[in-house]
Amino acid sequence: MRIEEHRGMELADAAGIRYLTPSNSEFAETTGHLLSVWTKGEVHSPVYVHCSFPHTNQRSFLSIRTADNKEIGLIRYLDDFPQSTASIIERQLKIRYFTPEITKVIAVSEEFGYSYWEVETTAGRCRFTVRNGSGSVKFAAENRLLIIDVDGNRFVIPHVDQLSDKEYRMIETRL
Amino acid sequence: MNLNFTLSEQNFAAARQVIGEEIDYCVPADLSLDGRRVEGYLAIGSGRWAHVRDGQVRDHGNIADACDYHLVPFVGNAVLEATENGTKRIIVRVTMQHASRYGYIAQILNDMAANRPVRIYRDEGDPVCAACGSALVPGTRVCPRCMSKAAAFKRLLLTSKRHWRSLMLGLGVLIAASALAMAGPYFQKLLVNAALLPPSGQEASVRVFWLALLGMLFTMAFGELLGIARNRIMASVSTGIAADLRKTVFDRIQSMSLGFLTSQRAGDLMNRVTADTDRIRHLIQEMCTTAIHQLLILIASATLLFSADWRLALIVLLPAPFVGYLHYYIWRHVLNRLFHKQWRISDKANSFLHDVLSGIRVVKAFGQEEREIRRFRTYNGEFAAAALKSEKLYSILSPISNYLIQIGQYLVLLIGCYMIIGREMNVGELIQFSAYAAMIFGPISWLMFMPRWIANAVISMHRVFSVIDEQPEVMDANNAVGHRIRGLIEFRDVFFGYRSYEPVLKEINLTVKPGEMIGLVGHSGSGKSTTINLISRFYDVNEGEIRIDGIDIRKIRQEDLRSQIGVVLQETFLFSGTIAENIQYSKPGAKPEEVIEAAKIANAHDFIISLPDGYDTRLEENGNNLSGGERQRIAIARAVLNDPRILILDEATASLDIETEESIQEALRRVTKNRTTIAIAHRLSTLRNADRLIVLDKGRIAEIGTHRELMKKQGIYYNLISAQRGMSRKSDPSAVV
Repeated sequence: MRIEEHRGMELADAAGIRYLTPSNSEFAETTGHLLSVWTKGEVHSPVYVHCSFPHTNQRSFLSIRTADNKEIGLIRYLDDFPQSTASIIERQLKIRYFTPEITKVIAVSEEFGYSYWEVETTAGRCRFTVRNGSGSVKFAAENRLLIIDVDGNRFVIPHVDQLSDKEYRMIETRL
Repeated sequence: MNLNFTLSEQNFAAARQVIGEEIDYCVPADLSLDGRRVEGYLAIGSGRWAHVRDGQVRDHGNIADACDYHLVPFVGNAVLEATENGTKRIIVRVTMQHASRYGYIAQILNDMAANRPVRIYRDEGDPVCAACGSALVPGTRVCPRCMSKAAAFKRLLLTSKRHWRSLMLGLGVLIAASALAMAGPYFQKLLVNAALLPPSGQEASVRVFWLALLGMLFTMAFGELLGIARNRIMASVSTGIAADLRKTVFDRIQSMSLGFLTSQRAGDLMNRVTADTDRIRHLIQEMCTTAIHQLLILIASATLLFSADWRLALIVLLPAPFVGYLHYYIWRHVLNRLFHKQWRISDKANSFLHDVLSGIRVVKAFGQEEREIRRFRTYNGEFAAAALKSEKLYSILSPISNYLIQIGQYLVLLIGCYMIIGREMNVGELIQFSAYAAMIFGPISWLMFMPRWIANAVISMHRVFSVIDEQPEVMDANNAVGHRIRGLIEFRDVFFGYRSYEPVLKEINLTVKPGEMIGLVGHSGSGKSTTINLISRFYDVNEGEIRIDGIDIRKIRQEDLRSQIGVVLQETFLFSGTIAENIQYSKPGAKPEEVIEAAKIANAHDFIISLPDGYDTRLEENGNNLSGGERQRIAIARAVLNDPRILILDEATASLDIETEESIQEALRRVTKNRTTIAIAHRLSTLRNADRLIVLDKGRIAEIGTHRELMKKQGIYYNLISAQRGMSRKSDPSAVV
């Protein structure tokens, strides 16, 4: 008996993932700043872009989902799409994932189990409060530090090793 | 929650152009679509809304032109969406700081759009501190203003009131011990000057020699004895205070509502009961022994130094703070950081070890041993390198920092010897002086570290007091009564949400007759478990009322209510102890025959009696030495032992195989007879004995009726049954409802 006969479907067939490509789908931004997609002769509006790897790869494996969280399809590489479409999708990604990058740590003080941060971010200067010891400050990827404040706002230090000595000292004991 | 922020003049002028003079609601819209934090606002009034920013109207519309306003929470931000002319649109975008306000705003806009009365009132304030009224740290129950170190100490002292006698005694002993310690150098001087090296012109006195020796012996021996007494008294005081605190915290945790407890991690609460109270114990002990002792020594030795020779005292004392600070600096900035890094690496290696060892079956199943060995080798290497580095540095820095501390001594000897040569001082005085000087450095360098450990202890104090101060959300009314339940349950216009802007149950009206069995059916998240949580009054309804036998459950004493409600959950929790003790949990002190009866009803008796240790079988952690079905039967026995008038079965048989379920169903049939029973089950065949089925859909009652009636209706229930039949046919043709 040949071994192949025992094998089931290939993993990809079993998963049945539908990839959206420039040839089988068309994206557009709605007047209400949301995203719509036309595929398989159907228009889905609005759809939301979910990132499979929001910390390590934001341009690949983007899941296009309806408001009911049903997957319409997966974009394998955003760069396969023409620039105009890619930038529409990117804009939506930036709306869904709001994680300003911390460009400068100004001050971090600690009092009574909470740390109070003052930072410069790509979204402007921010002050926020982080609860200590509840997994609010953690490495989301190698060298990439994710900080979640008491409200649920997220901040990221993209390259911890590029912080100045002074900045690193301020955050070191929070790690 | 504040839903009416004040607009700046510019923004107000802009908003007024669109929505008129009267602004009913106004909330921040602090994030632009391109991801900048901005000072924008959404203003609502006179049937219109306006998004204003920097004195300009960015967007506006008629509220009634759109419907289905709702908050869409994204990652790290949220948007307010609405459906306008059949298509969805984003109205404003906000950071998570204000997201919860928009839950209310969406509800308000929907009510306004549908011309319904608005059920939320804008004057609900933001959470404020109960003590001083100022705003809390967002998302916490912490008031930065009330959290002063002095206030924390004051509360600690108040808590320690019961122990003040022993505390005073301990302090008395402490002062005596310190005084005695100061006498030591005096006898040393006496010994040298009177007996060993008398100043010129004086004879050596044997009597003084013996007296000085005796004095030294006495101060040493008695000092040690006092030290022992001090430590014993302070240990008993501090452990007594910590035990009081632990008890208070634990009592408080038990009285907390389920809402608070589920919002906290069990480990965190455990820490507050154990680690934090222990840190406080340590603080009291340290404060009342070492700290006061060191302070007394510092003051006394400084005074004595100055009275002996003020010039020499100045030479000793001037560099002391500097040397102390240097010592502190080396610790804080070099050694401490080094050790911190080492701990972090060790932590990482430890959690890796924990992971791999607890998941060893998975490692072996996937044949990944080599990979794990390689990973461990890396962690191990990193740890060894970090440890070596810090040890190497420590071996150099520690002697240096200790040497710095001793440098004052060196100065004293230097100048002292010089003064002896110049006959300004004798040897005895120098020995006494250098002994006092040696005493002064210890307290100085110790005091440098004090702020840090006091700060740590104060954090613990606050964590402990924050639990003690927590107000239970579900409280007994003043006029709460005890009531023997008959079993009539009524829901009247019940609205409930874990957050009041997000209702989970809406307009629930339902009457369950005594002895009736009700099956609750619906998709996940439809509100089934919430309904039964409300019957047990784990939460209070937001609107409407739940009555049992015609009495509002808020007027029945909680303990009384819950002791008459038996609950069997999907995930059974059994405590460590014997099977008999676990069954007795619902009725402490139940007689053995009652325990056996309950087990018999629950179909558990036969398997228990076959165990070698019978009812005395000691359960391992969460009953892991029993099968799922056996655990569940013990849980049923526990629930029925107290003869509850209301029985709640929340997916009681969901995790069991069909055969075990059959046997438990049989037990349940006996148990539920003549008891009002509310049962939730995804496997709908479980509910075939129910008198009526209630189908919940998105928090509302969608269908009510018997199985037959609902099948005839061909609604949600019919679809659920059909889906399950389809599934069972696919997997097992014989298993149909």
